[in-house]
Amino acid sequence: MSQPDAHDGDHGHAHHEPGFFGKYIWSTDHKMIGKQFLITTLLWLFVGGALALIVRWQLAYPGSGAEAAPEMPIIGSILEAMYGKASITGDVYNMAFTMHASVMIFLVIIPMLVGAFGNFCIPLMIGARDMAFPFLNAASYWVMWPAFALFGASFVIDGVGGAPASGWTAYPPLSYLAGDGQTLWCMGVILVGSSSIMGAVNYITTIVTMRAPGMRFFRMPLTVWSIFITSILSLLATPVLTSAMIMLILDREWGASFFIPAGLSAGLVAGDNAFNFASGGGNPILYQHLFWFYSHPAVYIMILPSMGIASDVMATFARKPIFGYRPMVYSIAGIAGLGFIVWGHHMFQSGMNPALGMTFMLSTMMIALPSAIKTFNWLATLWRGSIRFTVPMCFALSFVSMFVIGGLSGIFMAATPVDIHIHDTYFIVAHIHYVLFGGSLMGAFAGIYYWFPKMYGREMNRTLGYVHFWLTLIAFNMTFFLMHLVGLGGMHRRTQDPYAKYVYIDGMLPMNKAMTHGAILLGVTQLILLFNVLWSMWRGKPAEANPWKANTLEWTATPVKPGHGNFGEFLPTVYRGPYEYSSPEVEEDWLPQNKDLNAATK
Amino acid sequence: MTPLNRRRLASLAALALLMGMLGGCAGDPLGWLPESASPEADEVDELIYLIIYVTGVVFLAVQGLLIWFLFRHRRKEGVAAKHTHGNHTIEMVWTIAPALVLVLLAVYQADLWVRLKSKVPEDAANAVNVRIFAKQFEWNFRYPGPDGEYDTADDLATVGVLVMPIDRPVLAELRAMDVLHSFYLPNFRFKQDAVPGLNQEIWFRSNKLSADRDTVKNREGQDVQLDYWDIVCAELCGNAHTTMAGRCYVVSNADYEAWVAGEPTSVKLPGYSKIGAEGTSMGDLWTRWAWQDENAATGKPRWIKNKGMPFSGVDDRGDDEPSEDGEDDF
Ligand code: HEM
Ligand SMILES: [Cu+2]
Ligand SMILES: [Cu+2]
Repeated sequence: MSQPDAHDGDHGHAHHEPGFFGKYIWSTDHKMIGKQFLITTLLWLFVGGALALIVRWQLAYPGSGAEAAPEMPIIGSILEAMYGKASITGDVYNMAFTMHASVMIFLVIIPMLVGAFGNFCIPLMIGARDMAFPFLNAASYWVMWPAFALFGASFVIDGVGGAPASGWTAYPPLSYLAGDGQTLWCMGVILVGSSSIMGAVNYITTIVTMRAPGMRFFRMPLTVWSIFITSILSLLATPVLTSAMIMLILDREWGASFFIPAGLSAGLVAGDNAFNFASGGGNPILYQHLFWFYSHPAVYIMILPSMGIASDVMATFARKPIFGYRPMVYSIAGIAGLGFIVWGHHMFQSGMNPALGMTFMLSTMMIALPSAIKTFNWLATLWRGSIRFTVPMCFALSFVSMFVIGGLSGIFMAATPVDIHIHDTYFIVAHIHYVLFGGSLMGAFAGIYYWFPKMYGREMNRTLGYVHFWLTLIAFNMTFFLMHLVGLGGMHRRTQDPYAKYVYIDGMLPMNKAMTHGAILLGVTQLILLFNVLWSMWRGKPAEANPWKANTLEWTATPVKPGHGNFGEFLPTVYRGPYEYSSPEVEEDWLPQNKDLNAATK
Repeated sequence: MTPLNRRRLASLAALALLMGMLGGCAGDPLGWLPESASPEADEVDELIYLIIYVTGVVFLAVQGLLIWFLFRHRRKEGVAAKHTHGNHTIEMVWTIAPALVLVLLAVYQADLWVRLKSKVPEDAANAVNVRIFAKQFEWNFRYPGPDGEYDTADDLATVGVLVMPIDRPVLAELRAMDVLHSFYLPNFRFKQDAVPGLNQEIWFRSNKLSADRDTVKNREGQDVQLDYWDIVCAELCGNAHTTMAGRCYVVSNADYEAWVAGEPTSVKLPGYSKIGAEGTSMGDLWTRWAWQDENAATGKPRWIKNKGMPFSGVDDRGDDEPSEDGEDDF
């Protein structure tokens, strides 16, 4: 493909190119920003993973009973350097699961799915030269860095008891009483939220106004659809989280008492009353409403992009159009709409009016429906396909398989009487990991393997990819499936040594050991991915422009490694939907969106 | 193809329901749940198993089809994929069928939720009253004592120990003095968060003596005999959250009355302290309760019938049950 455009990055024109900093650091090119998001979030994945291993280590080797707690390898010495003591005390444990979830949600999954794939894919897939607001786009990446700094500082600013340790949900009054790290945490969350909002504004504007000629809404790939709707969710929900965080900071630092009722006391026996500061009159349940009004939609912010990615990958490698493209789009929209009226299902046991619980129960049951519809359509897409088991396809398939388990466990918790028993137990932990790791992260992995050739012009190593896939799938299920059982058995979450006081949980120690071994394997396995990504960037086999023979514009209308401006002198014209695989109209089993059949036969 | 599919779906749903009913009768056939110690726990278990069977069928069907398609439709030389964009009828089928199942499930379990969380049990007149006060990191219980009124000298107080008679409901008021806690009785399938600033009326009951508890396995796989049901704090409440355990002794009615009266009991039970004068840390604690309580003037147990039910009628409120303003005794 000839490229009269002077912006082409691959064929010299060095005098037009910005310098190293301009190109790799202060770039406003959507592709570079997407890659920046990808690499940073991949690195944070390992921080989050290490924190999770602290939790798992403690649950396998708690030291209660006859034996003493063995020190954790490697991380034990990091703990010692930070806090002067290698042991996993209650404070360290609470910090570990709090920061694990916070890092994974706010610094890995959301910025990876929305920041990395949103940025990289949207302009390429809809045929735009860049985002509508390139500078805002760069800003959305760079405000992440102060957030990283705040999260990082929150570990150490106030010693071991001062790190955020109130759960990723940060419910007051506990988060009110917590040390200074909690304030930094709130500020970090506000910045991550700002990044989301900047991204969302940009994506929505770009998708609405900058589609290539012929790219009607209903010709957009599902990845674009899902990120489009995700952006609407972010835009509407994130400000509510921001307000909750600001109110919590005001409570903590100036005693505003939005969430703190009168007449409380902590440390009564010692005589000091940490609540003296608060004027009273607030309500802790108010915080939960605000928090979940954001955080329920946020779980869909974390899954919808993966659903889109999995759809695109599955159509490509089944060589079949997506079954029920419009129902797929409508279910994404349905999930988004219903997603705003189900937040109370996190609060069934919170002291919220039980009658309200009934309405949330009904809406929650209904939100399982669009997920079911999507699952059936994925299955039907595979039906009578010509399936190629590439690495991205393997991850997309395991996305479907694992997401189904997470969706079905959701029905248990949606049933309010059952939720009475399993709320705040490991059953919930199983659910969130089946949807967020088995779903969101598997989808993200599929996306990484799928778009890597377009991102770096090189292929990822396939053998390593398959090894990564199988080990991940096996270790993931080893780690998380048993959590359903210990949860039903009544093992509550967020406890550092449940065996000491509860004999019925003591009996679950062997299962917990097994889960920990799975978790260690799972953690180590991800190093394969990191290695593969970094190695392939420089050493991978050079890729073709369209290695998967896919139909969408990012493959069919750009060179191997698109330069600044993405397309040549002319934007591509779109003639059809994104999934015309195995079409009877042409001989090959693919028909690019921008291929003009009339011109070809002329 | 379409009618066949519809028939198959219908028969799957019927099968699921059937299995659910069968499973319901059998308690905990898979042995995953803690031993049940209340009629409500049995009902919850039935529901859990119903959902296990329904979702189990869906799980097997979806994963089975997935694996089958992957095998059957893997790439083969000379076999092209079928070019199809979908099918309106089948979309309708797999939208409406799961919608029906979900709505049925929702309606089916609503009644249990209302009975567990919003209504006073039938035999409320026969109930035992107790106040539960959660603080970092212990459960405090207070009984009104022989005179049936709180904040009098004969009130009984315990820490971490709840003694209750079998087959009589416990009407409890639940509060927290510092942070959120959650009052969780795994064997009763009961849980309610304790929220500072909120007085919550909750109820539960047991139909099994705690002395008759089945043995529990410890980490070595040995059987341990316990004579109490566990009380768990299920909501993160600070760095010693994991230690916030309590014991619930379910005893015969005679033993319960004897325990309250300070007389010998047939099973070994922990003691209690009389509240008596203020100034002790215990007294201090309960003063906090009074301070939080806008109705502290009346020391009577309060219970709002049909709490939170906007349309609850007046006519089902009998004389033997407490009225909204707490004037009646029971
Ligand atoms: C099929 C639809 C789903 C249903 C019916 C459902 C239902 C629920 C319910 C009722 C809870 C609250 C349980 C409790 O705390 O007692 C819950 C928790 C949760 N769900 Fe889902 N869910 C669904 C899908 C998802 C998806 C797709 C995600 C994310 C990608 C997700 C992420 C979460 C998370 C993170 C929590 C726990 C938050 C916490 O307490 O830390 N869920 N879900
Ligand atoms: Cu939710
Ligand atoms: Cu607790």
